[in-house]
Amino acid sequence: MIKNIVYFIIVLVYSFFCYLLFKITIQYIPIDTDVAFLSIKQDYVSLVHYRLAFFLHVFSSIFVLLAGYTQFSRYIYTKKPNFHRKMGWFYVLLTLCLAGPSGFIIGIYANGGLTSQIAFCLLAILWMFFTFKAVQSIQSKDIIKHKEWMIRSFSLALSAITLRAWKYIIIAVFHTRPIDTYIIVAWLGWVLNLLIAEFIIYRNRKT
Amino acid sequence: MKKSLIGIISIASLVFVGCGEQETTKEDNNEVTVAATKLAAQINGDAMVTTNEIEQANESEVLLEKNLKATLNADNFCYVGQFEALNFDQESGGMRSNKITIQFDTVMNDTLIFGYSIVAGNLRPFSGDVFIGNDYWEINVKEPGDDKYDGQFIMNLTQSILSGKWYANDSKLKVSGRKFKLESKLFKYDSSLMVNARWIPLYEHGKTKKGNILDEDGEEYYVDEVVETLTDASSEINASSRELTKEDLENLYKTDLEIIRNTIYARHGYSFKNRKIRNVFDQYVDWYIPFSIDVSGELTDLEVKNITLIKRYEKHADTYYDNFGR
Repeated sequence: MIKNIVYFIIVLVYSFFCYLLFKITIQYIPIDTDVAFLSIKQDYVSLVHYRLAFFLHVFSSIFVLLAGYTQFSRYIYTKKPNFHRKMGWFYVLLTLCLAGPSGFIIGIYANGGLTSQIAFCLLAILWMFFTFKAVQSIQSKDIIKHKEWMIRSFSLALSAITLRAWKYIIIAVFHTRPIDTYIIVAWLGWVLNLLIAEFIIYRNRKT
Repeated sequence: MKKSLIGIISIASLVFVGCGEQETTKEDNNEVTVAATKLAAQINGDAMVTTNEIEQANESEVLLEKNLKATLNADNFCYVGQFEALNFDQESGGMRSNKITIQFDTVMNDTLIFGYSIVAGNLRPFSGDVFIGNDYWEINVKEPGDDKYDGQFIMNLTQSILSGKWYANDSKLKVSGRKFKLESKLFKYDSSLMVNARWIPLYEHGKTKKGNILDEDGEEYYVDEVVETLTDASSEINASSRELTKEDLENLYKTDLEIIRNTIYARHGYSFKNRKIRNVFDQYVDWYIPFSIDVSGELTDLEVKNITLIKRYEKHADTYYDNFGR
């Protein structure tokens, strides 16, 4: 009973953040190179590969979050394994072909200099690597390893939410300068997620 | 050239011809002549004349009139200071004090005087009577009357101080009377002038809680107050003297950007209509002289470029600084 309530609250909270990210995404419809985040990237919007990567990333990443609803449900992956596989491939393709590579490219041009550029590019590489390992492990029928790699992969996907949440909190509490804050959340936004993922994996192994 | 020649000749002739009225020695005459000549030449030239120099040149009572008349010819000679409310109702919402600039344009027949005032983003002409005394002018002028804030100035000009009172035509205005004591200054655009951020408290009029501020006299007055963050960046970054880059601006708070940008206009003598910005420059920036109600034609290409870039970051900061987003 309690478990159901907790799950329900988690789904509710997750939905709220997905909604916020959806609102951010639709700012870029219709496509405009001088809106929202791009208004301070005017020195790069003239680059074709930057524009392409940016819009690919914005419009593919929002769908990545759908996996959060479907892929971790025991009911679905035990009772509806085909659906789990279909959604799983959807997540993998989005990550490995669209959101991941585009994230790496725009990461090269990140605000805040080398520190944040390394943070975002590392995030992209690890995200793609973990996702690839998750595919590899399920194809060799190692369900346990598949779960572990996917926990890592999705923890990094969640950085879309956690990075922005940290930014909001840090600004509200510490009123720090914009780029200083950005450099902090470029790392805090995903490293902590990965540490939590490792802890979950460690705890799962013990049982 | 012609003006200074006339100035020099009239001053020189007055000194050497009107001996009977002089109590000064011949040595004093020469000193004063030199000083007055210097003033006339400098007013019509490009050199910055300090208020001290103007005071020294004005030392002679007899020469005061000639000097003042000479100043009428100078476009950049003006009187600047605080325009303070006589009776201030803290809750009323009017401005307790603004910086005002008064310029005189012409004196006719030694009885009529014409000029204008610039305050709080408004330029209003005035005209009326002048009485030219030995060491002072008494001036009583009226503004046209077709603006609801028009009124009447009753003032006194001695040495280099213009002081007096102003009364609104509409006695029901929030502030219907003001007093002032203005010093003579020469307005000159100087791209190197900077504000001192340490001296500037900021408030956003009309937002959230009321707070108490103590003014210079130690008296409390009330203002709707939200204190915004201003850092040394606004004292250090000069948007009039070099091209600014993304690196200069991307890590600044919105108020830093706002002050850096508005300092450009302040250097050109723009009289701000925006209350928050006006209060900053009127009260906390010594060199600021409200001199014009439209400086858009004076901005240099460099300044225009920087303004565009600053506005971009200002707008971004306004919307995105504290929201859930990147």
